[in-house]
This record gives sequence, C-alpha cells and structure tokens, in this order.
Amino acid sequence: MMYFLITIIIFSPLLGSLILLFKNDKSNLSTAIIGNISIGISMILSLFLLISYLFDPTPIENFTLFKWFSSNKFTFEFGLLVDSLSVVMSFIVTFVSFFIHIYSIGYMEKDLGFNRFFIYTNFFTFSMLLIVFSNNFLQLFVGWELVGLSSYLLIGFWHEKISAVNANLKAFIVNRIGDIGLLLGVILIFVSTKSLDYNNLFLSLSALSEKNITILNYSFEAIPLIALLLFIGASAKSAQIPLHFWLPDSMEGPTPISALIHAATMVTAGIFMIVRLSPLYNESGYVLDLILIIGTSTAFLMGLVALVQNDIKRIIAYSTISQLGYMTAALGASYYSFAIYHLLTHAFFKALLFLCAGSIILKCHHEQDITKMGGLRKIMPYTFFAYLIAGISLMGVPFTSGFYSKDLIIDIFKNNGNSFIYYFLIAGVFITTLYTSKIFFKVFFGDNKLKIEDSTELEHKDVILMPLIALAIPSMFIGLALFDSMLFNNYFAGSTSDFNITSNFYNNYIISAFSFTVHAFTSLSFFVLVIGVITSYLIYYKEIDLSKIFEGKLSLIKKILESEYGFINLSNNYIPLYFKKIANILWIKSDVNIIDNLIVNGIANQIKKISTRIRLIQTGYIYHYAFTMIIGLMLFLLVFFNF
Amino acid sequence: MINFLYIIPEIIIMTVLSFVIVLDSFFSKNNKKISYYFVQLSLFLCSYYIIDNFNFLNKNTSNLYNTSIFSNIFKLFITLSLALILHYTYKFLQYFKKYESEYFMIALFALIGMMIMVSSEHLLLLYLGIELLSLSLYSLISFNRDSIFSSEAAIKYYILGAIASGFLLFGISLIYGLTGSLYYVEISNQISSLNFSSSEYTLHAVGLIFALTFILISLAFKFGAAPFHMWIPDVYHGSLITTTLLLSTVPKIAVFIIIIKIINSIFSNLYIFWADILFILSILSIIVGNVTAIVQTNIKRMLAYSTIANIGFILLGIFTGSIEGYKAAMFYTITYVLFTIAAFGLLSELKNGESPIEEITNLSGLNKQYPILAFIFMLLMLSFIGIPPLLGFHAKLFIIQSLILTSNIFLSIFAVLMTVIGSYYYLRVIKVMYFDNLDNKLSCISTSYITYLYVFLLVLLGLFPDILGQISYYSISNL
Repeated sequence: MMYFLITIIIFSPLLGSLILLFKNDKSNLSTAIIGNISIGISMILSLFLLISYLFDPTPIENFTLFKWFSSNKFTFEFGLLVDSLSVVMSFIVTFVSFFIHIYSIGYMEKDLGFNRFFIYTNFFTFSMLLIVFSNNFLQLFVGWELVGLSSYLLIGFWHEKISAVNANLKAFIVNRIGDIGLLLGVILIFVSTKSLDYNNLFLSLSALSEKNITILNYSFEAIPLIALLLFIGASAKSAQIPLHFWLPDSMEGPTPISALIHAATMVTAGIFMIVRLSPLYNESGYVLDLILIIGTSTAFLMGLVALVQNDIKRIIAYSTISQLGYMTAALGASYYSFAIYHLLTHAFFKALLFLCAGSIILKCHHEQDITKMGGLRKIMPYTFFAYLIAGISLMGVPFTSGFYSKDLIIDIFKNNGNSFIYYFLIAGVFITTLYTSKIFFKVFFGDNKLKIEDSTELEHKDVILMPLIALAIPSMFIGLALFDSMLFNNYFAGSTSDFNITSNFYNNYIISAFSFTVHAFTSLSFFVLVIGVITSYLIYYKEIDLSKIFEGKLSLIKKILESEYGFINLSNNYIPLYFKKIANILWIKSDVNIIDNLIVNGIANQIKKISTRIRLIQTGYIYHYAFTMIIGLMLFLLVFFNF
Repeated sequence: MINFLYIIPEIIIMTVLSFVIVLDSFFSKNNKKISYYFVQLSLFLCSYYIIDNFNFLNKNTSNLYNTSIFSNIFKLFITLSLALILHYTYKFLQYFKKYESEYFMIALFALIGMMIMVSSEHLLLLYLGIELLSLSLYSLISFNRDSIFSSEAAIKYYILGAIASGFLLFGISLIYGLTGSLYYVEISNQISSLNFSSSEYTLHAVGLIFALTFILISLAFKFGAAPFHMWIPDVYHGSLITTTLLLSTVPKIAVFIIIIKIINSIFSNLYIFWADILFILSILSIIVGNVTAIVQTNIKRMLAYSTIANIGFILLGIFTGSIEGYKAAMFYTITYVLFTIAAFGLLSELKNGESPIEEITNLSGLNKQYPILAFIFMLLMLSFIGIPPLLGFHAKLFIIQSLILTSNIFLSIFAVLMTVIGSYYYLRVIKVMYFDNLDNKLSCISTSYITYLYVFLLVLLGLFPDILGQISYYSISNL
C-alpha cells in the first residue's frame, strides 16, 4: 500500500512533465490542467500521509522499488525511505509546489514559454521528491543534480535576457563546486563502507570512527572529513557563506520559480540532507562547530546586506539566505528537528512573500525597485493582507508560524549558554524586522509614484489570489498547530538522532506551546522586535534621514554592504577574470593546438583516409569477395601453425 | 508418441505452412492477404505453445534434438521478433504494391531452419538447418526481382554462401573422420580425452584444429564477421528494406547460439584455439565496420557496416570464454536485434517521394515534419552509440566489463575507442534529421502505434536493464 502510494507521489509529476513534453496542441489550458493535476495528486497523497504520520509517527518503511543494475560487486537499487522526516518534507514540497503551479497559470499566462515552464517545474518537483524519499546516496546524488539542472533551466527561463543567462551560469557553476564536495563525500563513504545505503552507513559509524583516511601523507579522521565534504555540497545548495552569492542573482528567473525553488524547496535540500544524516553529523565533532559558525554568520551578515537592497526580489532573496542561516545554526547545535521545523514554516511564509512580490511586480508592470513604488495598500488589498501575514511571520511576531520556529532556534543558544551566538541571532531578528518593514512601508504606504490606476475589479485574476490566501493560512497557523504534535510528541524521533536533547529541552524550557508563547512576550527577542518595528516606522514611513544623524559615518558601512563584503566583486570580476586568463592559456596552447589540431582533427582525418581506402576493397566483384574469404581462411590456418 | 510432443512448435509452423501454401493458390488476388494473417497466427500459436510447455519441453532427453530452456527462450525470442518484422514487411509491401503471400511463407521456412539450428545436437542436422535458412534468405533477397540490384545481391550471397557451406561440410567431415560421430556429446567426449598441452601436435589434434577453423569460419561468414563480411553491404543494399530488416536480425541470433553451443559443448577443450580465431575476427570486424561506415551515404549500407561492428562486439564477449562474457554477448545480441528491428522498422514506414528511404540525406529535416518519429530514431541511434540510460549503454558496459574481468584491459580500451569512432556515423544521422533543411518529399506511409509502443518498451527495458540481464544469465546457465 505504502509502496504504491509513494511511487505515485514521486512519479506523478514526472509523468505530467513527460506528457507536457510530447503534447501536440499548443493551448495553455490543457498545459495548465495537466501540470496542475499531476502535482495535485502528489499533494493530496502527501497530505494524507502527513496526517496519518501525525497520529502515529513511528512507522519507518525502507524498501527497494526495483534493482536498477548490478555491476560486479556493486548493486544499485532504487529504494524509498518513508519516515516522519520524508513525509513532512514531501508535504512541504508538494503543497507549496501545487499552489505555485496554480499561481503560475496566472503569472505566466502571456508568456510564450508557458508549456516549457510547466515541463520544467513538474520535472523539478519530481527531482526534489527523488531526494526526499531516497534511501541511498547515489539516488540522492541523482536527485541533487536534477534539481540543480531544473534550477539552471528555470533561472535562465527568459534566455533572451543576458542577465538571466549570466545568473543561471553562476548558479550552476557555484553549485558544481558544492557538488564536487558532495560527490567526494559520497565516494569516501563508498570507499570506506562498501555501500551507499544510509542505513549501512549508520550501522557502520562506530567502525568508521576509528578509521583514518590518508591523502597525500596527511591523515584525516574519516567521519569529520566525510561530514565536511557533504556539508560543502549542502552549503552550496542552501546558499551559506561563502557559496551563497548565486542565490540573489537567481532572482532573474520568473517570480514563481523564486518562490518554489529559491525559497521554499530546493535551497532547503542541503538542510534536509544534513538532518537525514544526523547520526553521522552527531559524531563529526569540530564540523558541527564550523556549521554553527557559518550558519550564524550567514544569518547575521546576509540579513544586513538585505537592508541596502532596493530590488524587492533581492531583498527577499537575502532574507532567504539569512533564514537558511538560522536553520544551519540549529543544525550546528545538533537540534535537527528544530531546523526542520523552521524549514517547514519558512517554506510557507517565504513562498508567500515571493508570491506577493510577484503580484506587486505584475501590477507595477515589471518594476522591481521598491523606492519607485508606493501607496499600493488600497489598490491591492489581498496582496497587502497576504504580505502582512507573511511579513509578521518572518519577523517572528508571537502567534505566527515564524515565531514558533525561529524563537525556538534562538532559545537553544540562550539555554545552552552560547551567548555569543545568541546575541548575533537576536541582532538578526532586529535586521529581519527592518528589511521586512522596509518593503511593507515603501510599497504599500506613501505616494502612488507609479500612478497605478485603481479599478473596481479584483486586483488580479482568481488564480493569482487563491494561492495567496491558501498559503497565508499555513503561514499564520501551522507553527502553532503542529508545535506540540511535532516537537513534543517526538515526531522526528525515528528519523533524527536528536531525540534526547530536544525532549530534554522541551521538558525543561518550553513545557507547552501556550507557555512558550506567553513567555515570549517577556523575552529579549520580542523586545528587539518591537524596537525594530518602531525604528523602521521612523526610517521608512516617516522617512527620517539617517545620514544627517550619523553625519556620513554610515556611508562606509553602506558601501561595504552594497558590495556585499566584496563578494560581488569577487564573483563577478576577479574570479572570472583570472579563470578566463588561465582558460585562455589552456584553450590556445593545449586545446586548439594539441587536442584539436593534433588529436581530434588529426585522428579524424586519418580515419577518413583509412575509411576511403578500406572502402575500395569492396569492389563489388564476386571473385574478389571469394578470394578474400579464401585468403582469410589461409591466414587463420597459418596463425595456428606458425608457418 | 511423446517424442513428437517435444517439437510441437515446429509441427505447428509446418502444418500451417503446408496448409497455407495449398490454400493460397485458391485465393483470389484480393484475398491473398489472408495468408499473411494465417502466418501471423501460426507465429503466435507457436510462441503460445513454447511458453505453455516451457517445463515440459525441458524434459526432453534426446541426443539429437534438444529442447532445453536455453533453446526455448531463443525460439520464443526469434518467433516474436519475426512476428514484428513480418508486421512491418506486410505494411511495407502493401503500400508499395509488392505484396505476394509467398514472401511470408518463405519467412516461415527460414524460421523452421532457425529453430532446427537452435535445437540441433547433431552436426548434420545443424547443417540442414543452416541450409534451410540460407535457401530461404536467397529467395527473399531476390524477391524484388524487377531490381537488378536485388538479383545481383542474391547471386552474390548464393555463391559465397555455397563456398561457406563447403567450408562447413569440410569441417564436419573432418570431425566425422577423426571422432567417428556427429553427435555433440560424443564428439565432446572424444575431444576431452585428448591432450593439447604438449607443444608437438599429433595429427589427430591438427585435424581437429582444422575442423574447428573451417566450421568457425563458415559460421563467421553467416554471422558477417570481417574478413568474411563482404556480402553484407551489397546484400543489405540490394534487397528491400524489410528484407534487410529480416536478414540483419533473427538469423544473427540463431548463428550466435550455434557459435556459443559449438564452442561451449564441442570445443570447450580447445579454448586457446577458438579464442584466437574469435579475437582476430572481432578486432577486424570492429575496425572494418566502424571505420567504413563513416564514409557511407546509403543508410542501408551504413547500417550494414554498423552490423559488422556490432558483431565484432558480440564476438569480443564470446572471446573471453567466461560466463560473464557469454552473458554479456547474449545481452548484446538481444539488444542489437531489438534496436535494429526498431530502426529498420521505422525506416520502412517512411518514404521519399514514391520510393522507400535509401540515402541518409533522405531523412533531412525529419524533425520538422515528424518530431516524434525523429525523436524515436534519435533514441535508437543513441542506444547504438551506447548512451545511458538506453539499453545499448548497458550492453556495451557488460561487454567491456567482461573484458576487464578476464584482464583484457587493452582490448577494453580498444572497444571504448572504437565506440567513439562509431558514434560519428550514428550522430550524423541525428544531425541530418534535426539540423538539415526539410526535404519536402519525405512522408510517412502509415502512422504506427506499434512502433511507439515498441520503442516505449525498449526505453523501459533500458531503465530496468536487470530484466534482460537476468534472462541472459538464466539462459546461459541452462546452456
């Protein structure tokens, strides 16, 4: 039964994608129907699974769907691992994906590539589900590459725009760096355990912990090395410093894609993988500290960058990086289920934020600069309310979803005494409040600078508004609704290895969702939040000029932030420049001269010459043929008797 | 009586055949196609009986005619392939108004010849099977008798085939003279008692090696391995495209099986000798096939050379002499046959103006007019090259793997390099289909859902290569 269910969940989007690929008629309607139904089936089944798992999170099903091929000692089986973790993840992916598909019907309506768009997105959903349900590293890697490919295709969806092409190239190349790490990690696992199954890895952890791996006379402990390499892969996909800079550029893609891939699902694949491998990471020692530091600095530093941006999508993109930093910090503290919980709530409100941004951009005729917008509150009431909900959820106002997950992560550090990290994350809350309110005040209040006419009809078509409402509900309530059942009832006990610490934490500090909420009103983060809201009200609504107060002292900081700590220069100028120089040398010297002229063309020309000669043997005369046969026979006999 | 039950598939084919031959002469011109349906019916009936009696047929203990699991798997495969081939042939002949019901009856004779080849455990019976097959093929090739190329091809094949038969008979008579028997088992017993390790060969051993060489060379001729390949391009070129389809597929399976059987059950003791022969044959075939195919402009000729190259790969698998090698070779043969049927079948459904497809350039711009057909043809070509996840990839992989397992590292590198050269001419077809300008004369004689379904199944098989891998392993271990 389960077997059948999961197969449908995974392969329904692929089937949809294939049907669309071979579809003959060009109508948008049939594309929309096929694209949405295939995801819808997955969504409903995932929802059903999630509900059944909420009642009883214990079943762990690990089965082989089919044997793909066996090669001597290694057998690759296509397997599925169904447990509480993969069920939650598949719910997030399919739910968000489904509503974004509906939204896209309206958003992409006039685009010529309507059908292509749905082929890609359906294919993306399939690839993501492949990662979610995989039970071995090879399958994970396949899914990992496929989401990378779909992301590449979708960022460059408008391939006639040069900036889009540059952005997708950047995303692809940065992710390749991560992929090398991931691949090396997987290879190391195979070399040291002779298997690629997750289970086998977990079982052989104790044997692995005594193992050393020697590279060029340096000896490394196996587990931390593997964990580090895998984390490089995860950090590229989940946009952590220093491999984060592809994500803001990826906003060149259509907005629904930014919502689906670059906010809710694909970028969380790295987080998901580490949670999935939590037994490995628990043993990895200093790598966890590294993850913690990277996560915290990403959360803080990238939030700061968002403050100086004016492009609505870029602000939200930096906010995504910053929130992923929070999740990574939770991973570093080995509170894996908290990270997943933040992943869950974040997926909804961040997708919603992007959809609101899309709706605003559509209304403003593809203007994305928020300083040029204003006064849209009356004109776009639905978007206004949706943004309000997503915004307060992102800030972490009590009772919203974001509050329950983010404050939980911050509280970890309050209670384990790591005050350094704690204050950075608190500062992150302040920054989050600032940039969220910045969009809010600049877009919805003030003068209507773009002179957008207010019509009596709805601001957009139903297909655009419906997903806004559908995503606003979980953005508001899912945090509270699942708080007790997911965290208190040890929902993730079967999938992650943090059962002891989280239940300890829960019993000692949280007790229940209610007390957690009440307690929050007296906490530092709430205080900071309030200050943040007041500050941003003064700066962005009342428009107090900060530069007057600080007398130009801010300009240096602003410069640093605008250059994104030098990453923009590094990634756009220095690295490409030097690589181009090296590449030029390699190209002219080795490729053109040696490989092309000498080897490739040289051999090809030789073979063509040989080919024309051999052809001459085929004279068409029957006595020549018979003669060749006899000669052949003689030769064979000669071979044996060495005449 | 029970002995007759073992050959019930053959009896069915014979009965229907005799029945249809007589009946056909009473049909009017318009009703002749009924004979075709009878032929198809007999094929399905035959495959039904093979499947149904799988275990029963296995109980046959005859020394003359073996109906083991091994031979039955192949009989089934040959019969079903033939059914598909005849389907394409029928459509093709109908469209070009060349339909004659004799064509299909001759094809059935060929089928019986192949069944006898697969099952025979006696050299003379084997010879009879080969001759029955060959005679049927000669007449099928000359079927298009208005064309001078067709007659030329038939004559060439006939004369060269006669020489090859002479080789075979000479080899068989040598064996009879040396061992006094024609049964595989008895010959094998005789040979295994001989000692070949001494550096001085006895006259007895020399005779056996002569016999082995003659027999293997005549089989290499039937298989089409270089340097005995000369007939292939001319014959493929000269005959109708559907005859080429028949020629290049099912007989190859039958010949493959008898090669495996002969070297494994008769000459297993003479490994060092037949390995040398197969080594030379396969290297030459791969080089000649791949290199010469590059300059061909006629698509049938190109596929002829590609056949030679593929046969080289199959022989490379057998050459290793290991179970993995046999398994890989069998996997390769099945894959090759399945994909060749699809490729030629698809070509037979296209026409250029009012004539069948001949030149590669006839296909130019196929993508613009029939994107699905172009896509399918691209898949087939990619599989021939060996691109994953198609079946051709796994076939090549297994062959190379078996070479590595028997520590023939250089041979495996050679195989990979030759695959690269080979990919050129397959890719050129794709280039012509996708990037050249549309040739307006190109059109389709019928829309065939069978092709779509068939190719879909092939792609599925490629995704789950283990199915075919298990089948080949199973049949090889029941050899």
